Amino acid sequence: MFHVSPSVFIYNASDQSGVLVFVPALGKVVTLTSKVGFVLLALKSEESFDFTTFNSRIVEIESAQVKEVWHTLISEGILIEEI
Amino acid sequence: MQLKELEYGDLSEKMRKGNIGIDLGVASFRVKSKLPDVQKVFYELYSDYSIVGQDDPTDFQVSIQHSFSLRRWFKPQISFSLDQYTPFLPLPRSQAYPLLEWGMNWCMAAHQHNFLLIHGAILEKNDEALIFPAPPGSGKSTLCAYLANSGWRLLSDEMTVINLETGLAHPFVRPICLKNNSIDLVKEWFPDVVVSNIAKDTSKGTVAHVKPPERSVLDLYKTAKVRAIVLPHFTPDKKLDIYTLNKIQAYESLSSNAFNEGMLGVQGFKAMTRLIEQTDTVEIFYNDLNSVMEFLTEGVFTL
Repeated sequence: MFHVSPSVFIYNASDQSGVLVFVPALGKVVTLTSKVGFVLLALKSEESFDFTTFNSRIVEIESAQVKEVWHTLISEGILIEEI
Repeated sequence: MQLKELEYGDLSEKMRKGNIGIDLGVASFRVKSKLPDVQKVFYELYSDYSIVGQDDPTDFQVSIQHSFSLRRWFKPQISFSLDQYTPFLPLPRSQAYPLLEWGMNWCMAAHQHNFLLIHGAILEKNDEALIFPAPPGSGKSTLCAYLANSGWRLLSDEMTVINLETGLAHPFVRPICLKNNSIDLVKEWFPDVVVSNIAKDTSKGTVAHVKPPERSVLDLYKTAKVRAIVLPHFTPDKKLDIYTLNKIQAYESLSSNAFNEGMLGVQGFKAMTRLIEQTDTVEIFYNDLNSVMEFLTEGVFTL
């Protein structure tokens, strides 16, 4: 069972080597080492999510989106490794 | 006023009373000890540092004293304290000076959360700083002593201090802690450097501390832009092998050496990822310090 954070922070590495998701409420950083393309699509499908902001290095997803995004990451098995 | 402007007798008297304060840039320490050997080594290694005024506040008030137990009469021990708090078990009397240095490191790592703190050396050349995060046994301190006495500016041997707002590195210049065989090697390479007395059978083996170059101490308030992260591995059978790490690998390596990233939460995550974005990361396996220095001085980290 994952606790849903009020916000998560995403780091999209400029060399395309992966994506990091920081969940303050969990105090953890999750490494996404593959399926990055799917993450992008999942985030894009959120109507309220401004996809263009994903070009920035760190994107803060506010509470309105976090539940859906986070559940998508979980249900699709995107969360691969905890560090 | 630099510590060396004090007569040793004055220093000794002030240390007995806990009235000697040292400015280390990002933090200041007031140090108390009645132990003559601690006073002597402290005077030798910190002679170039500025003294904090007797009535001025300091960030940490630490002491190294005999443990108050019957053991002080046989196999005496010493304890480190921050204010009235004693965070560690007592150590043998012969380890008094190393315990002071390790205790001061602990003060920073456990309390100075205005910065991102990373376990690693940091040195600068040509206005570009390199971070060397590494676990014990990697040769980090030997490499650090070599570079610091070969024209590089030492910012720290033990702790990289990153500003959360600017991403710049702040110096935290301290004596370099050498272990085991590296003590004699550094004495041989640099006969003029000041090396403390040797403490044997510590948790890190035989250790000694090397006085930092005066130029580095005088630049205590000069921040540096970080150019690269270098993960050193002393490997006897490899002269110099270099591998580049991608951003995610670099993050994982740096994060595993961070003292307080988790404590800082979002600030820590942002500071770490910004550092990764603005730097290149390489992993080096080496046995030849000259080759390493040539590679680092060249400053090309994307292979």
